[in-house]
Amino acid sequence: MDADIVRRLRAGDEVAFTELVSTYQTSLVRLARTFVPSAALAEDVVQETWIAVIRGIDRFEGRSSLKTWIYAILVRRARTAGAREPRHRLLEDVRDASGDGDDPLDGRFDARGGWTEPPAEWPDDVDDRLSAPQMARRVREAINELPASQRQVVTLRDVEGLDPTEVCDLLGISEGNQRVLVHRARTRLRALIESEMAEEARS
Amino acid sequence: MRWRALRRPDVVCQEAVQLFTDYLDDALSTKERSRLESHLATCPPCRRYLDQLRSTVATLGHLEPDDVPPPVMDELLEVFRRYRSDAGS
Repeated sequence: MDADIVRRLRAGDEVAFTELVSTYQTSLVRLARTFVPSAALAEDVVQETWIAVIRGIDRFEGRSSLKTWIYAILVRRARTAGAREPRHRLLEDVRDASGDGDDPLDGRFDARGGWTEPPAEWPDDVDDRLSAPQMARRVREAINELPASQRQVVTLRDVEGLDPTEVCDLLGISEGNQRVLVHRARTRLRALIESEMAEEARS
Repeated sequence: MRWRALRRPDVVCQEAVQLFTDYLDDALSTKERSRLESHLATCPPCRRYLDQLRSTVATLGHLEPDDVPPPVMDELLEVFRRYRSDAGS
């Protein structure tokens, strides 16, 4: 599949390029935003990334997937842009070091580790509800509210579907750290969906 | 019965929820995996939690990207057109 897209891009196929941008733009902007202090700067980084893709596609050798290659360009550029903003980096580090703030599962277990408040049942049509535009919007907002390092990992792992190893290489984090971050992010997002479901049930 | 003393204690729910990410990634040791699976076999709330985590991950994988603002796309296409036509000529 990559080979076909790469061939079309090299041949100057504008449809292929438009599709590529449409597919990755949202996640690229989200990821860039974790490295730089403003949305405008994040969009600049993404713009630079696409220009690097346009120029570099002739040299793409397929050692990684096209997707991973694009994300690697983005991460390099976003890091460089973010490094010029020391204050921002400091703030994000402090926020992440404090862990998740509040664990959404706090208070749901007794002293022996059993559920005191077990997860409420989700409706049978949960998958339909989850794909409704309103829910998708809430989920996207919730991703954007996660601490930066969780946002990076969950975007690459779960939204973009990269392997844990690829994510570790891209972000320069250990396998263990990657697992902790994706775990925290999923725990948060499940809790968000749980409360949205409870709200729907009440209304 | 002596072997029992060597076994790690059973998984409790609070520990189970911490193991699910590794479980879904197939990153647990065989031993941990079977401890977790014996817990799951007897614990409907934990099974429900695990299903919900699976739905959560699936939802993330199916999120539709936002539309790219037309001015952004136009600008990129302009660069693409210019660069690729130079590259091709």
